[in-house]
Amino acid sequence: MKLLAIAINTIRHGMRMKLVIAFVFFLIAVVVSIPFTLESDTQKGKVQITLAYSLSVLNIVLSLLTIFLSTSTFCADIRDKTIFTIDTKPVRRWEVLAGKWVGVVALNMVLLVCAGGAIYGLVKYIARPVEGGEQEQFKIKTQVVTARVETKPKAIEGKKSTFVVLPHHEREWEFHGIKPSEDIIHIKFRNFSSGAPNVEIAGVWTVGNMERGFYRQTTAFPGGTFHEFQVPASVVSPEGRLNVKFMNISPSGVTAIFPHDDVIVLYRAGGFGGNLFRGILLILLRVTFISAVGLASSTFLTFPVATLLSIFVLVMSLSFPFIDALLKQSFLFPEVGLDSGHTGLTTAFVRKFLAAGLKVFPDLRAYDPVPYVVSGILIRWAVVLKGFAAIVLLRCGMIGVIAHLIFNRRELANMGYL
Amino acid sequence: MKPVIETIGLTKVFKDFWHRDKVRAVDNLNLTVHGGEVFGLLGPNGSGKTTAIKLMLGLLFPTSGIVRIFGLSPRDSLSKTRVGFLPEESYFYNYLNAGETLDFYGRLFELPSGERKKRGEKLLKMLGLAPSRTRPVGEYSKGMARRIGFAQALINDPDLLILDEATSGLDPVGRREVKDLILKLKKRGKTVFLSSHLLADVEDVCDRIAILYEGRLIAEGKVDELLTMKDVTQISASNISKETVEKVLNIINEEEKGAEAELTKPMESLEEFFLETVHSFESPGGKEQITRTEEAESPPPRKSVIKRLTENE
Repeated sequence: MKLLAIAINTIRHGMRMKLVIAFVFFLIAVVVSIPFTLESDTQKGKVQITLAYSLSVLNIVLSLLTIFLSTSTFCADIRDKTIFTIDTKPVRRWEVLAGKWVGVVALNMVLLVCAGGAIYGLVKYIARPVEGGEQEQFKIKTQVVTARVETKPKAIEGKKSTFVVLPHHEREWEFHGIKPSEDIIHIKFRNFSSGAPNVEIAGVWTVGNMERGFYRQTTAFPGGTFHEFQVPASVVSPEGRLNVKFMNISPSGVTAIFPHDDVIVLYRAGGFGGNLFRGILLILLRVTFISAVGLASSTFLTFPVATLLSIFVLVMSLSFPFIDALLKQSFLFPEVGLDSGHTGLTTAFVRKFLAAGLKVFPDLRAYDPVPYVVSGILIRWAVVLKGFAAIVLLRCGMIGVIAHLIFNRRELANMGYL
Repeated sequence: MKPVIETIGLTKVFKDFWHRDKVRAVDNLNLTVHGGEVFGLLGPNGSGKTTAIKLMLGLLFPTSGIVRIFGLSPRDSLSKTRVGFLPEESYFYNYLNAGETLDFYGRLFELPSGERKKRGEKLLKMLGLAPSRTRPVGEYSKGMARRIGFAQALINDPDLLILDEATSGLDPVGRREVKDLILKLKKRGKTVFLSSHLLADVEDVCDRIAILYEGRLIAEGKVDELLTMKDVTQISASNISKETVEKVLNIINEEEKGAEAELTKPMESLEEFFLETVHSFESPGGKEQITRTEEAESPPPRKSVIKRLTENE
C-alpha cells in the first residue's frame, strides 16, 4: 500500500508538471502532422514513413520526458523537504525509490497506450483503400501492416561471408524452418553493384526445390536498397526447406555483391496490431531503464546534474553499435600498452572507458522496434522477454540496488550535495 | 519502563567539502524523555534544537553517540509507526488538497481505507479545516498550513509527537488551540517533545524543559522547579483595604529584617486578555463593545507599585 501510495502520488506530480503537458502536446502535434508534412511517391511509402517517424519521435520524446520526470519527482521532494514528512513515516527508503519508479513507469505506460492507439489509428487511416490503388493496397497489407517472420539463410560452414556474383554467374542460398501460414511468401534482398551506384543490377531469381517445383522472377534495381518480391508458398517443401538462386544477367556487365544476411525469406505469422503492441512494449523497456537511471542519479545529485547524467547514459546506450564499431577500428583506438607514452596512455584509457561502457550500458538499439514495425517484421515475444530480462531484471535491478545503497546512506536533512 | 526518547552522548558535527569539521551543531547531548510527559527543548536560534530533532527522526545521522526512540533506532519502521512529526515549515505536496494529503500519509501508515477516512474527517473537523478540505494545500495561509501539518502528524494516533516550532506563524488564537491540543494529548497519555523559542508557550504546556546553547545542554529539569524563586513568597488576597495591606507590610518589615516586600496588582497575561477580548467580540452583541482604558494623563505603568519597603527606607 505504501509503495502504491507513492506511485500514485508520482503520477499526480507528473500530471501536474507543465513540462509533461508540453511534451504530450508536442508529441500529438508531431505525430498528427507527419502525414501532412512528409511526401512519398507511393501509399506504402507514406505508411512506412508515418510509422518510422511517429515511433522514432515517440521513442525520443518519451525518453527525454522520462528523464525529466524521474529526476524532478525525486529532486523536488528533497529540495522542498517533502521527503522529511515521508521518511519519518514507516516507509523504507527502497519503498520510496520503488514507488517513484513504478509511478514513472505507470505514467509512461498510459502515455504509450494513448500514443500507440493514435499511431495505429493514423496508420489505418493512411492505409485506407483508395480508388485504383488495389496493387498498392496489397503491398501495404502483405509488406507493412502485417507481422512476418524473417528467416536468414543457412550459414555456410558456420561462417558469414559476402557473396560476389559475376556477370552470367549464379549463387544459391538455402533456407530452413519456413512455415508459411498463407499462400504467399516474400523474398527480400539487397545487393551492391561493382559499377556506379545508379547502375541497375538485373537478375533472375529461381525459388523452390526439385520436390515442389520452381518459381522464377526477374528483377532490375540499382544497388544499395532492399527490395521484395512475392513467391507462392507452395514451393516450400513440407520440411520447410527452400532454395533461392540468383543469376546475374545485368546487361552492363556489373558484378552483384550480396552481404550474407541480405537475402531473407519472409512469411506472415501475425497481425499489425499485435506487432505494434510488442513494439510499444520495447519502447516501454527503454523508458523503464531510463527512469531507473534518472531516479538513481537523483539519489545523490541535484536536478540539473542528475538530468545531464541520465541524458549521457541514454546517449551511450543508444550509441552502442557506434562505440563497438569505433573500438574495432584499430586505427582510431589502437590497442596499446599503458607504457607507450602519453598518447598511448590516453588512448588506452579511452578504449577501456568505452569498453566498460559497452559492458555496463544495455544496447538499446537492439530493442528498437522501428525497423521491425516499418518493414512488417514480427517482433517475437522472445525478443521482448529477452529485453525484459536484460534491461528490467538485470540493468534496472543493478541500478536499483546501487540507488538503494546510496539513498539509504544519505542524510536527507544535510543539503551538502552536488 | 523504557524511556520514549533517549540520547546518550549525542553529537553531530557538520563537515565541509574536504571533510573538515565545520559546525558542531549538537555536542554530547544526554536527554531522557519519559512516557506521558510534555518535554520542551529551548534555545536561541542556531542552538541545535532542530538538528537534535532531525537526529531523533533519522533525517540526520549522529557523528557519535546514541539516539533511541522507544528503545529502537529512529530509522526503525517499528519506532516510526508510533511517532508523529510536525516539521518547522509545512513541507507538503502543494497540488494535493487537505483530504488527499491526509489520505496519502494515512496510506504510508497502512491504515485501512475506512479508518483513514474516519481519522481524516475527525482531524479536519478538529483543526477547523473541514470547510477547506478541497482546496490545494499550496493555497493555504501559514496558519492553515500549520494545521494540516498537525493533522498529518496525528493521522496515526502517535504515542510520541515531535513538534518543531509548533506555534510559530500562528496567531494567538491558533497558539492557544495548539497548546490546548498538546495538553489534551498529554491527558490521553501521549508524549510530546517540542522545540520552541517562544518561552511563554513552553512554560504553559511543558512538564520538563531542557535548554541548549551552541549545541550543549546547559539546563534541564521540571518547569516548576526551574522557575520557582525559592527565596520569594507571594501572598494573594482579594478585596482587602489599604489599611490591612499596610499592616501586613509593617508586620513583614518588623518580623523579617532585610526582607524586600513588593505590592502589585495581579495582571492577566497579554495572551489571556487578547483571547478574552476576541471571544467576547465574537459572541452575540459583542461587536458593539469596544474595550478601552480610561484616558490617562500619563501612560499607565505596567506594574503599579504601591509601596516598596526596604530595610534602608
